[in-house]
Amino acid sequence: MADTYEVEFLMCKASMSKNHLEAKDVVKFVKIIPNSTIGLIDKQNEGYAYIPVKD
Amino acid sequence: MKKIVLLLALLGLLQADEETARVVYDLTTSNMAKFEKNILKGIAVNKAHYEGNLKELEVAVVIHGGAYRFFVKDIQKSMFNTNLKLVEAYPELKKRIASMADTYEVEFLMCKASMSKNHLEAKDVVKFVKIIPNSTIGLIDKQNEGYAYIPVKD
Repeated sequence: MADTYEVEFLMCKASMSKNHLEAKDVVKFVKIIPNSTIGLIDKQNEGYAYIPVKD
Repeated sequence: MKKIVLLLALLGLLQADEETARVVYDLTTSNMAKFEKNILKGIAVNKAHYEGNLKELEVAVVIHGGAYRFFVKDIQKSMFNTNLKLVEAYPELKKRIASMADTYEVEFLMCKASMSKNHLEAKDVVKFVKIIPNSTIGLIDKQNEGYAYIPVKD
């Protein structure tokens, strides 16, 4: 997805410790951002539509 | 010359617009911990993040669903007065919420449609809250103005 489709993956840093993860434990094409709200604000402010994928 | 000045002023405005991030929270949670984390703490943290990047963050909050309880003038006289945990925490909570409006200029919009179900009239709601016809209209208007949509729910 990252290579072929140039999908940009952004991971919320705030809950990484709760998931016992440090930056080095995550696949390398993922970019770590301060928190998910900031990522969702920035993308929508750039004109990206919001689509939730949840349980 | 006047045209050039006008053009520069317009460019300045566009630039300022690019330096402002905007978010509207769709607030329906009745959960006090979640309200504290996402609204009271979250907005402060996110405001600081954008300020650190020399941007502003404009925040609006649309109140409906289970979230009316956090915006009543007198919790004891409200239908939420049986929630002892909320009643106990409310005086402090109320101050912190008011400071969101004062310090951070957060715009609070309350859905009128379900106010009666929550036994609330305009006079029962804290004064910095603006009452709007319904939550959908508020969420449409804000998103059409370029605000990002962030849900805060149970």
